Amino acid sequence: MDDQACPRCKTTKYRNPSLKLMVNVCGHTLCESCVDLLFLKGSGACPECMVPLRRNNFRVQLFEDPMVEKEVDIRRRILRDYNKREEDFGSLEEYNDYLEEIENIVFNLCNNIEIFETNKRIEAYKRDNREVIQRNKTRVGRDEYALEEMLELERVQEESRKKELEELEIEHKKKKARDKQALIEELMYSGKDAAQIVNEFAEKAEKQREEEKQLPPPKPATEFSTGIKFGQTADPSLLPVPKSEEGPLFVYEPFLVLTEGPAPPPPTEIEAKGYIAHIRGETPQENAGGFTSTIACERALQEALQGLYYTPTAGLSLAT
Amino acid sequence: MLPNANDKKDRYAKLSFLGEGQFAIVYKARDTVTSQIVAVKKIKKGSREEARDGINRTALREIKILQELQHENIIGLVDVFGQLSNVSLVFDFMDTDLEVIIKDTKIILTPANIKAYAIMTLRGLEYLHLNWILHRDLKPNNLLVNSDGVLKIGDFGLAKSFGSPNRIYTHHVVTRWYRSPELLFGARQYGTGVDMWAVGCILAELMLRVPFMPGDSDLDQLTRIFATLGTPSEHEWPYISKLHDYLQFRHFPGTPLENIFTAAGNDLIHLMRCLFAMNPLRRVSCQEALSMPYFGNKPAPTVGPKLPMPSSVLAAKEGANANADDKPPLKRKLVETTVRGHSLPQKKRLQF
Amino acid sequence: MASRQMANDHLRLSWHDTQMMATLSPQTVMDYFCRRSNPFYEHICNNETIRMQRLGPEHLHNMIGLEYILLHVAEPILYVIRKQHRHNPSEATPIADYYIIGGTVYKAPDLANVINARILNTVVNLQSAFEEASGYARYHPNKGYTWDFSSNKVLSDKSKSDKKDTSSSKDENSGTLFQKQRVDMLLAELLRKFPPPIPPMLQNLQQAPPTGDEMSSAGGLNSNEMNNATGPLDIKTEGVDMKPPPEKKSK
Repeated sequence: MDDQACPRCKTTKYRNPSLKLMVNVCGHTLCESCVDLLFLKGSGACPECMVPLRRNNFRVQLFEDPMVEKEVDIRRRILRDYNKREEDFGSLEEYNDYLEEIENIVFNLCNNIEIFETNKRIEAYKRDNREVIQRNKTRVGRDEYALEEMLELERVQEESRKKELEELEIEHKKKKARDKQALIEELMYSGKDAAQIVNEFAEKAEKQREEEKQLPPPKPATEFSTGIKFGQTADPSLLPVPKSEEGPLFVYEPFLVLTEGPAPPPPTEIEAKGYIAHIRGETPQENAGGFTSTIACERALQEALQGLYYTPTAGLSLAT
Repeated sequence: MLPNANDKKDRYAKLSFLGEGQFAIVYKARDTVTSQIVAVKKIKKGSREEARDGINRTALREIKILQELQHENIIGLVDVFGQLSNVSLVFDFMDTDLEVIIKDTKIILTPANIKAYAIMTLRGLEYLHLNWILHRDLKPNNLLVNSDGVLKIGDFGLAKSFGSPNRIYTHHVVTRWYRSPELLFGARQYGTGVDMWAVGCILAELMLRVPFMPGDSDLDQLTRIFATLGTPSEHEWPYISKLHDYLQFRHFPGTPLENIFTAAGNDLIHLMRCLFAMNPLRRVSCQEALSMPYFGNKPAPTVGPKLPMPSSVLAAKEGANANADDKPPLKRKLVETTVRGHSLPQKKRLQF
Repeated sequence: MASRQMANDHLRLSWHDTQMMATLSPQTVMDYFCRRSNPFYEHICNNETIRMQRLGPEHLHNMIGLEYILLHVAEPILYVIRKQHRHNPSEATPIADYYIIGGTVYKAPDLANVINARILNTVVNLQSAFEEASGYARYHPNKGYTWDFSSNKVLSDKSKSDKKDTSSSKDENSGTLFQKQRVDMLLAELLRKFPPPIPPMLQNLQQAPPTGDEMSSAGGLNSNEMNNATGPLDIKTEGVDMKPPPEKKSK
């Protein structure tokens, strides 16, 4: 809270909490009325330190502590000139050095240490880096522009919305006036019973009011933005995810080869039982192509054993 | 019972033209005896030199092999007849083939559909391999599908029995895009691996809707295969360097299959990996493939009639249903459009 | 059971892809969600099948099975994606929802989980409050039971430290203020839609706290307005209406 009194009028600060404190470059505070008083008289000097002042040097105080205010002021002034950015430096260390330089300057100016030298340093820096400073100034300006544009846009939107609302209001009022007018005219000119007319109009007004009540709430969302309707969970006709698929699952049954003869030995046995020994082994080319002697052996054995059980039954003879 | 050759040609009433191949012209016809719809493949009369040797080699192969085979997933040879110097083969009529289905962008192939096609193909192939026959020309064009959703392997013009150690087999078999690496390397002896590789390529095409590895030349095909699946090492495929036309390719690491077939489950990726094994001896066989968990897992394969049909077949079926009961005069039948080709303008019954 | 555990774990997961998340728009958000590295995305769904076959997204309606659809867009931050099982071109059962905020994907909790979490929060806090308070109870045969907070000496000292740990870890999991407020709003809406049967006595009590909240928030607004009237820079006088006027009035 405001524990400070204005050094001049002391009392006034307590009495009127909404009074603002102004602060000047030397860091001393004055309440608004005292400032007015001071400049009325024409003289512009700080009452504490007698530093010559101008009216516009007084800024509305942001911070309670005048030292903080002063430092903020100095910092702002310095940074207007020392406005290089990290990209302008070759290495991180250089950038850090630069930042330290700024801090030193601000510290000195704030606490009134070596003011003259510090100012000289500032001047020297300003001279050396004039172009860079200029460039950066414009660059900063652009960012601010963008922000301002966005704010403008928002303001414009707000205004348009307000206008719409106002128009709606006006419409509404006009309608009411018209209805009243109509009622009066009816009463005057028509031959109907007065009470009846009044009733009719009352009903109409009520109906209109009901309609209006339904209109203002925006149509509650009944569907997603892609057009799919809400509220499917309440839909009782939802089919459950089918557990069983259509059709029977495939079960492999090996094809039965009817040989009408004894079963030939399977390929595993052919090698094991030594049938292979009597057969020419395959050449590497044949092996690479996908042919082994086992295959040939298997086929030969099958064809040898096929049909051994077959006997021609009666009735199937061709020569009749 | 030796049939009189002259009787046969009148038995089949030509309905419409279906298509033309290198060796034959195919017509849609109706068997007047059983009133079954059939496809008649009339082998073209070759040049004088070819005709001097007798019946066309392709036709002979088809007749020899197909007349001994009978399986639900293998095209059935209904009849054979000759007329003057022409031979005609009569097959079951199949409305469409897998190539048309793959290329029809209005059809979606769900995982269940793909599984159904794979099962039917492998079943037919299993039967073939058990009878020691290699198809050697598997591609979507030769996998015929009828309107009941049954897939049958057709076109046995390049089929041959295998397992004989003394025969020399040519390596210029299988359409290039579906050719296995051992064939591209000029292997003179091979086995069921060549058909299994083709099945892998067909499965990939079912998933991607475009040919998996369309090469322009043999060399380009090999490059594509190795770039996609990785160059095989000697360790992976012993004696690869001994193959007849072996060339050393630069090392490709290959792309993991799950990045290519992003919507495939892990079981399907495992099956693909086994089908695309570089070493043909390590490549999975039909029985092994069908025993893999992919086929037993969910989703279940679509049953026949629910398989997607191209729009032209559906339209034809609608028309056929409308005209089902009455025996229409030929005029109306000729107006009806069919899967391939155009209808004949003539009204009277043609002589073969 | 394993799937339920996985579903609960998904509630604690979040995923994002640093490269793609910068360029999210209603057209690219589905591709973003459908990346394989996303743990919420099952790659065997219909969406992936269609992508693999290079067909257009209009085919989704004709397929049966698992699919993901874009449910709600509130550019540029919020997208909601629904995982549902489609039975036929006109019906689909939703299974789960996922929301994308600022590029990160989370699983939206279902009502059961929210209520569970709330109740757990409440119960744990109550319990720790009781445990803390129980240390301050004193008994004397003459005086009976009393509370003694001033002595700063708790009788029972058992495992104070890990209670603190659990409370601090609970804080991290209980969500940000924004989330809590938002869920409060949603729960209040649900309560309005499906009002529970309340005995009349409790109803009075219920009305008091909500109105109390409104008053305090309204009070906050009023004090702000007053400050604006006196000027934006008058930070010193902010607490003026709170503090009593100074006693001394000199002169």
